[in-house]
Amino acid sequence: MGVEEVMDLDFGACKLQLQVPEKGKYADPSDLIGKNIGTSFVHLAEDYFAALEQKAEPANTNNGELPTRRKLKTKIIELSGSVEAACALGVADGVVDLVGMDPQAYRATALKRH
Amino acid sequence: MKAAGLKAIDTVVSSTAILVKSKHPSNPAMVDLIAARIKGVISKSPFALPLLPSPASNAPLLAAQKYVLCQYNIERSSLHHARNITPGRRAPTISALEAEGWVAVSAMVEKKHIATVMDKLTEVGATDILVLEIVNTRAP
Repeated sequence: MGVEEVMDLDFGACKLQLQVPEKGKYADPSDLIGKNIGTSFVHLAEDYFAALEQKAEPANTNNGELPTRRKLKTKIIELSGSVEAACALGVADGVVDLVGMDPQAYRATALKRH
Repeated sequence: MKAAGLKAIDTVVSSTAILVKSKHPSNPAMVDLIAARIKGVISKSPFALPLLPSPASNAPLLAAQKYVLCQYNIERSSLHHARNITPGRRAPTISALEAEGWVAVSAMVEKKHIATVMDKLTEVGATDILVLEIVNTRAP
């Protein structure tokens, strides 16, 4: 990479998380294989589920050939805005969405919304 | 997330804001100057951070940068609630007020929690809540 890290600015921390309905039937990420996932981060979500599916059901490596990238069983649905509403609306079984980790920043956005 | 009735069951990526520079800057002196100025501003801001040289350093923040001093008045009958919200570093300082049944509390609170702490204090009946910057300290 052509850049180097100078310093951590210690703000704007967030996590891209796999989320499911609190009172739903899904508890483990692997429960969502083959389901519908709503997200704005299609590529990251696809990479994540590709790894998950690979782990759950390792591809056959016949004749020592490298496993080809399989078609994803899980359906990644691209959404923009209000991704967190997708489950309640029945569009998705789970979502891959950003969650802010900075409580002050979170408060700030929460205040703006209301 | 909670408001939408969702819970997280895994983390795909963790991210935070990082200052980066080119490995081959055309004007290294300018890069250093800008970095030094950002450090100067940031070390005084609520987002205080440990300075270089080791970029990945997770050195603990100085207490003066990490904490603020929170002061408020509250009725003695509600004091036990308030003590749970602001336990302080060793213990909260409680002073008598010249008003029957009232006390003044003073405690160090982590900056990143101060907004929530103020909300909770208001809920349990604290008034005259002040938050003061700590300039320097010898607290461990």
